[in-house]
Amino acid sequence: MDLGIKIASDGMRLRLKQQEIIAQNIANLNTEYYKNKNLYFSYNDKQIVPNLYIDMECGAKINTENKFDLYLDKNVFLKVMDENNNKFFIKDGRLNLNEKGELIYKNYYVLDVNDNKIYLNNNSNIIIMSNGDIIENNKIVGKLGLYRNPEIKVSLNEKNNLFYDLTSPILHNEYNTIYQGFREASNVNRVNELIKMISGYHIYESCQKAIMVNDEVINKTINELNKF
Amino acid sequence: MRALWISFTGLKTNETVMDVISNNLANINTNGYKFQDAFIEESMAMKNSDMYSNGVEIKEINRNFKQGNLISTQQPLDLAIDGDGFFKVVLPDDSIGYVRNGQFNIDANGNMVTKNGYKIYPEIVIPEDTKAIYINEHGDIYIKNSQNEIKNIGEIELAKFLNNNGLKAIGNGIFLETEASGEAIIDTPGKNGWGMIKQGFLEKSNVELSSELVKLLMIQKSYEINAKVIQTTDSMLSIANSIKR
Repeated sequence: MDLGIKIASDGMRLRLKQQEIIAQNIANLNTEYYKNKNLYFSYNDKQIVPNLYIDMECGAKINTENKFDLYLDKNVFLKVMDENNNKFFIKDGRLNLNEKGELIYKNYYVLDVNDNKIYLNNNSNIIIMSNGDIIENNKIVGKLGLYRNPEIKVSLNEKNNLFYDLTSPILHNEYNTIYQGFREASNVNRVNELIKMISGYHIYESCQKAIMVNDEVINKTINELNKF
Repeated sequence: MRALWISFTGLKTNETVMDVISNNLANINTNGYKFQDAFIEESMAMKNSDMYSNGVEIKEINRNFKQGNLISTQQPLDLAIDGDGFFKVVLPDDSIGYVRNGQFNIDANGNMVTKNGYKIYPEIVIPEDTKAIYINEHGDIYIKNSQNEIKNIGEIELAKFLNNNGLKAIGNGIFLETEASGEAIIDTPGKNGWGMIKQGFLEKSNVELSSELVKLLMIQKSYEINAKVIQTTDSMLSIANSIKR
């Protein structure tokens, strides 16, 4: 294929892919704990390569007064474990108690600093301090394991894409890292997304024009050059 | 093409959240009503750097068991729970139901029953010559008869669950115990962090008008912007179609 047409069609394909990411961000405008995703393009070896980047900036704090809702500060993660002892990191703080009194996130167990499950035998007088201490009836009964990633950039887990992979997590139980009774709003900025969408749209249009011009050139080469 | 479907899930989710909000707003004056909250989550599958985003989905609809405001009614059999716990009632099929709304009456046989006619459990029978009923914060019921004698005729127990979200709502403010909620823990009100009984008060719904209205605005704007993305994607696809003249 003509290189010009190939590059322009790659451009169109990737802009459509970017449109998917924008649609995903906008569909999740009201999803609590959602992190904005961006697609960056680089030109390498006559190919356009897309790179996915997750924006880890914090969203707004929403007050829910629910004692098991946690707001995690920027670059702070909780550790959870599934039934097969696979461990993952999460940013989502919507925790719950199951019927046995174990602290869970969906069907994953939330782990404390020593990687053990956390048991609570009451759900009324629970205070979670901003350094992860869990206080039940004025006694410390556990300590949530809070982790920090040395690098800002994090990647999603390959097996389960709602969790994160940290390069070498560090235990980080300091004050003012989690807040009880708050949830985090999504960090999608609708203006940015709309602007990306408009500019992407015009690039898409230009790529289409480029293909048509290329087509015209080839057409001329085939049908008019041989007249001489 | 996927972008169209992603925006479609955005529209659909917003519609469902809208239903939840309307239900909350419709029940703003229902005593003992606990508002519902949709657990929205990003839906996606991603392998390496290939994106298979699927938009957004509703995982589950939870109930928020936050305390509602108490209002004074001065009725002796209007009871409110200030704190955690549920009243136990006997349902027509002899199973036990759990309610927050403590609006009780006396039926023809002197039984203490809810508005829907379900007896409280353990049963409490109010004698005929009762002049006044006193219920203290621990749920002990005392009556004063025509000879001005004060007698204890029973006590109210409260039930609590480890996981309130596992309870199954069957309407009329009645909840049923399930495997997910865990077994009911029964205790005396007002002790060890349990809710206190307040006589002459009712618990209003815990719906907050302002926060529901804010949610409503957010849903509306989010619906609009999702529709815009569909429009743009649609025009992009028609540009692609017009490559071939």
